[in-house]
Amino acid sequence: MIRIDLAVPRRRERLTTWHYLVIWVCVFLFVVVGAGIGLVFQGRRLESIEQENASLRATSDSLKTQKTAVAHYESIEAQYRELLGKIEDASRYNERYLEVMRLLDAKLGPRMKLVSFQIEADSATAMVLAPSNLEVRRYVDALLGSAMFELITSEPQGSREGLIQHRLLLRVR
Amino acid sequence: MTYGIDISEEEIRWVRLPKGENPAACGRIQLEDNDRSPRRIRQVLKEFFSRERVSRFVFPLCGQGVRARVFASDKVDISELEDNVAWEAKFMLTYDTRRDVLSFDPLRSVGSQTWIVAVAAPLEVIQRKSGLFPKKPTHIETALTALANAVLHSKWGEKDIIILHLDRSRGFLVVVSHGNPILMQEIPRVNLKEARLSEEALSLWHDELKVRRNFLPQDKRRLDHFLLSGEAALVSENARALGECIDLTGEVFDPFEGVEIEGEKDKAPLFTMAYACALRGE
Repeated sequence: MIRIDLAVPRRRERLTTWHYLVIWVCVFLFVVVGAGIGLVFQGRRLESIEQENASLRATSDSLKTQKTAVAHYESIEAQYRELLGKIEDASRYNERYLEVMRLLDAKLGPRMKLVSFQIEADSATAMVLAPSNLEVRRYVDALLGSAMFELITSEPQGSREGLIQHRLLLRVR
Repeated sequence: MTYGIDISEEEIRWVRLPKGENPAACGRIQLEDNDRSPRRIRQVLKEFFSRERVSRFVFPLCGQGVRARVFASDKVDISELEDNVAWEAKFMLTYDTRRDVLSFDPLRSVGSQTWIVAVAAPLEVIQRKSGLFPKKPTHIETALTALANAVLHSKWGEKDIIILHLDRSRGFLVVVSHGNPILMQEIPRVNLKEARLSEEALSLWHDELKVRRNFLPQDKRRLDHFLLSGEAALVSENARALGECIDLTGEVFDPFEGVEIEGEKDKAPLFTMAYACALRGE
């Protein structure tokens, strides 16, 4: 007997309305369940984000407070630095004052007296008593020799305590 | 129980072989003239399958690019035989791997060659014909191999026989020699108008059969008998007249010879294909 066989796998049966209905219901349930699970996860995620947001907000508030404190500190620091500057200026002025006064006093001749002196930004006015104009002149030369002063005017102001009173206007270098 | 189911143009013929207490049976289901559409055939078959509780069946495939041929293939290792036959079938059967399904059966080995019966059919035709049935067939035969099997299974199997199965609109010619088919051809454009063949029809068949016999090798043209099957065989004079066309004794082929069968045993030649298909399923 000849044994040949042309049978091939049978083509797939056509889907009936019931098949389509069942497939549709399955797809619908799958989508609904999937969407439900997705929403639950999304809700949990949103809660987590909200908590994180609150935490960030608290951190932000804390940072703002710190920033205000830092600004306040910086303001105080600026004031402090300003004060330091003023102290330094005052200190320099005092040093200069003392130096000018020390020179004016150091260069006085015999029987001469430094009655008063006043120092400005770049000048100094000294009132001295001297036995003679020559002594005043020597005194002025000695001051000019220190290279710190420059004579602007020297005016006799009459006599006092038996000595000649001179008013010296000097430019301080 | 395996059913052989043969769908002709006008009717569905079926044969059931005996099993246990169930005797063999055969029958026909007429298709109405006004509706022979695939849909109608499918419906008729569905009712038949339901009524007879058919679970196993074999049907024959024919027409529309179904080809069968016997040829000698180079004898090779069995593992290479399939590739070898497929390659040879490209030339012998114009087998196209993209379009056709190929099946073959080694018949016998002679020297360095193996004789093969190979069939090829377009996949689309197989699917379309299978789609007429409500179930998957156990096997799919071709009408030509079924006809050859019917002869080989009968008392004529070991002789040199030419058999013609002739229905109203289809014809198949098979030559069997000493237990093997040597020629299998489907005859196209058959149009049997009358039950008894007229002189004009006999003249045409005379030429047709002579031409067909010339396809045989020279040494195989000496044949013992001419057998007629199908609707044309219901008139016994047709067998005798057609046999005379090629100088042979013509006889009606009875596939049920020696078989106890219920049904239309007097119309046995109609059931040649269905009977051979039922045999194939055993």
